[in-house]
Amino acid sequence: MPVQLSLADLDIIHPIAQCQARRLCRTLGRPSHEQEDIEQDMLLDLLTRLPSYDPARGTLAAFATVCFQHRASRLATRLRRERRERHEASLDDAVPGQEEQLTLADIIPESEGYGAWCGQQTDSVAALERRLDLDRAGAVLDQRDHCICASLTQCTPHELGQQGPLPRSVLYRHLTEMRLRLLAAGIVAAA
Amino acid sequence: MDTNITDIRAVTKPLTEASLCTWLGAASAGDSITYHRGALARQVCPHLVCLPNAERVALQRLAARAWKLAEMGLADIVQRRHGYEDYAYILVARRRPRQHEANILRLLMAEFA
Repeated sequence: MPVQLSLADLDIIHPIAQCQARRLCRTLGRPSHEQEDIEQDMLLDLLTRLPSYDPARGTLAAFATVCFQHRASRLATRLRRERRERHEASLDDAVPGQEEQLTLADIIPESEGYGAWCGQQTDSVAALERRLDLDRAGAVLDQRDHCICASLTQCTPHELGQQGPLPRSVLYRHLTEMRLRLLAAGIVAAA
Repeated sequence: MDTNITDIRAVTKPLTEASLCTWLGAASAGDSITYHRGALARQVCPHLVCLPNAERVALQRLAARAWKLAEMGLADIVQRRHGYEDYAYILVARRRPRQHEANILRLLMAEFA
């Protein structure tokens, strides 16, 4: 007959799970926010094993402790394996089998670096060209037009004309003037 | 098969403000273009009616743009006399400043501050 857990049973089991999860986190050096995940994992494991619990052989707390310990052991093995697969190494580690003295940082391309993972531009030449173009365009345009350019990154000229404060006709005259100035400065993208 | 290389400095007639600016953007120092031939002062005068209105307005804008480009220091405007009331109005590209002021950077720094 399957055992039904009461609220009183949960009051006993929860602190044990919490204790085991905390111990596992500390042993493996895992961040504290993973403790709740591990605790849930252990409780789920206990629920799947609960039908095999026999009250005649011992208390629920003892059964739960054994279940949690086994689960913790398996979790520890899995987490250690994952850590090994991730191949943690220092960027200053020397790369073996190279004639030159190269470190790991020397051979990792920028396109696979941390910046690329965060979605940043990794092509340094393109970034430099964009920066030069921006500088050139900024020098050509009037200081008062910079705020219009900034607003145009958020909305269309039509929307900007509706929002104000510049009247629509003045705004479009400004845009025409800016376009011609950029063209004269050799920035053909303005055409 | 031969491939024609498009001359980006070539401009199509009639010249407009945009085509004049595009030409200047691609021009080297010393390159010149005749943006008008005739007597400009007479032809842009609305009372003399030397040209149809649309053509006169376009010419006025073109001449004003050439003047603005000269004021910005990007070009020089000169004229060559060919005869009575017959002048060539020429725009000569100037050497570009080697280093522009990096005001975008200043703007960004001010925004982050």
